[in-house]
Amino acid sequence: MENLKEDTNKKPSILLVEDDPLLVTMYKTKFTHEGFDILIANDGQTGLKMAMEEEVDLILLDIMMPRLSGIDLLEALRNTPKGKKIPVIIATNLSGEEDKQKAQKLGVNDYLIKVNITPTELVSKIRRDIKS
Amino acid sequence: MFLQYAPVSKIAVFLINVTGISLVLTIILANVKPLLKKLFVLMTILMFMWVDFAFLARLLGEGNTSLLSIKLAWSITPLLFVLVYSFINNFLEDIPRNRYLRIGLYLLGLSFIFIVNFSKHVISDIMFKDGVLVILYGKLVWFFFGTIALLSFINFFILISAYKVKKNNSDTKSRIKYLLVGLTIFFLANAIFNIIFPVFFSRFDLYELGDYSTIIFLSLIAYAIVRYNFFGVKVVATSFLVTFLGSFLLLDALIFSPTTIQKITKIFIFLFYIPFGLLLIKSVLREVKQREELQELTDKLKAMDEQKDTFISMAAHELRAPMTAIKGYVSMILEGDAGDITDKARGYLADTNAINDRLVRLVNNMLNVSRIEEGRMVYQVEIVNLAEVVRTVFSQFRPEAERKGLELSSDVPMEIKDRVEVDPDRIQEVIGNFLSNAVKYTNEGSVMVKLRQPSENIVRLEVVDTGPGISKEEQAKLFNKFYRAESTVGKTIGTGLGLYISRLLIEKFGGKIGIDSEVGKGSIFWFELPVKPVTVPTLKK
Repeated sequence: MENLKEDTNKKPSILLVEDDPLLVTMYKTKFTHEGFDILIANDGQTGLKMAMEEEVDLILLDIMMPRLSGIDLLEALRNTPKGKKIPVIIATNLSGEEDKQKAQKLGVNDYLIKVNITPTELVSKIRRDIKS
Repeated sequence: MFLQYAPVSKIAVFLINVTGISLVLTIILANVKPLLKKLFVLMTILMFMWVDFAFLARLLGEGNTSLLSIKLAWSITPLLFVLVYSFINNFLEDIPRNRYLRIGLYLLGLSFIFIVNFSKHVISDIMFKDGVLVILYGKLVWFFFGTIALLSFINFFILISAYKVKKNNSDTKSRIKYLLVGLTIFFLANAIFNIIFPVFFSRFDLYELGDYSTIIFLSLIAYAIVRYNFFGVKVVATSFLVTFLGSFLLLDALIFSPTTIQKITKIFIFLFYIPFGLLLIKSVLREVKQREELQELTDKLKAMDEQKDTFISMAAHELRAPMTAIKGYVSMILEGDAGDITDKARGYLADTNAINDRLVRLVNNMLNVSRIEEGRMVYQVEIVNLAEVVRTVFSQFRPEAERKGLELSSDVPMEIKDRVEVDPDRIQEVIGNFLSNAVKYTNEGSVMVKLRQPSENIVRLEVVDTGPGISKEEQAKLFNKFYRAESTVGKTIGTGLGLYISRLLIEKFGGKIGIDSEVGKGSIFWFELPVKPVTVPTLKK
């Protein structure tokens, strides 16, 4: 019973995997403002490690990153029992059709082009995806 | 006496000679290193000697001339293998060479010419049994066979070790492969038909098959020398035909002409024929070469095009990051995340946002154009209510219109049938391009988006503006790539891609796109799409 209580009080947590410091700062500001717990990884490899070690409610994933691309991270993640269920939103600025199809095959809740969406719109998508 | 030697063999020997000559012609006329040409010609001559003298021996039947012929044929075999060795060494440039070994092998090869011809130690005599030539071996015959085997193995060894070294060069590797296959066939055919069958089973009747395998080897060597394309069917067929006709003319002149006058005339015809035949082969070779150069150019262009695409997507990616940040921060400030701001500041920020959106559209168009043109764009087609899309896009342009003092309105009838089958992101881009142009080029008055129903199954979107209008001549070119209507609106920013992409997209979704306009009276940009009927689920009985 106590666990359940704790859960309801807990802030939803997001793992942001993004290498552009400008965008990291912006999203961090917005998500904190909206009451999320936020974890940050600056490259794909760290992102995957944190996704496996930490308990997060959603992963917001960039594609083009040093060391491990978002698509490769997603593939590795989906191959583990733990990573199968975590909701993932891909937010990229590199709109390659191959990436999109591969991501959808691997199972993503949303595939977004960052430049087409405001942080507020992103937050509402995150809320919806965490609930579902 | 002449034996009634099988006519099939006569034809075979004739064809082998013709093929040999046509191969030599191809190699000589192709763009090949002179040394390789020389070696190839030498190899062909030795092969001719081998095949033709062995044939002659069988043709002539019992007698000293036959013995001489067969000895001559045998005597040059080791040298042929030495030439192959020399050829491989020169062909595969960067393999280690041993000068002494080469000289030694040549001496060995040459010495057999003397041993075989002037002694009875390799071939002691020949006889004919039921019309089949039987060779009586001398004491040194195994030395002779052993030398040939040794030379073959040296060649195999070089080729295989070169094959292992050239791991990364697939072109050279495939050439080595041809040589290996040729050598293997040659070696096996000779070992089986010229050594194993006669020596162990006393069967001499299949003897010539070993000789004939030389032509396969020679063909594969030629194939390895010239590039694949140069050795296309066309070139070989032409060479073969030219040689075939030439040999026919020559034989006709020398053998089948009864009178001297006829002989001389025919020889003249033959001599007259030669330059034309050579010209024909040369022109075919040139054509093949041109085709090859064209192919190289095409490949280069393709690679450059790919580089361009990569560059554009990388540039787009880099441009989008700062634009994302601008859009994000501006929207956050406008939404009050940074506290209260004045109305004036709000207005400026709305403008900033609109300008930023214009940049975003520009980059999107740049990215999309080659994808759409080359059919690489993947469309996520679904049933969409056009009215909803209009509402989404429309709101993006409100701040910019307000700023310019334009009246921006939409007219969407409630009862309109607007279900269309499109990619929602792409149709948003089309409407965005229309509205962006209208707001950008209209300095006073209004911009209006309308949905209409010209017929039961067509929905029409119109963006009506009170801008400068566009002349009839320009209207025709407006939807072309890179075209910008500069005569009425002056020099403006833009890539001239927006309307072009819009046309490609609307056509892709099975619709029509167009403009109605007159200079000074504004413009109507429109597109029409087929309406998808609402499917009423059929009730199960």
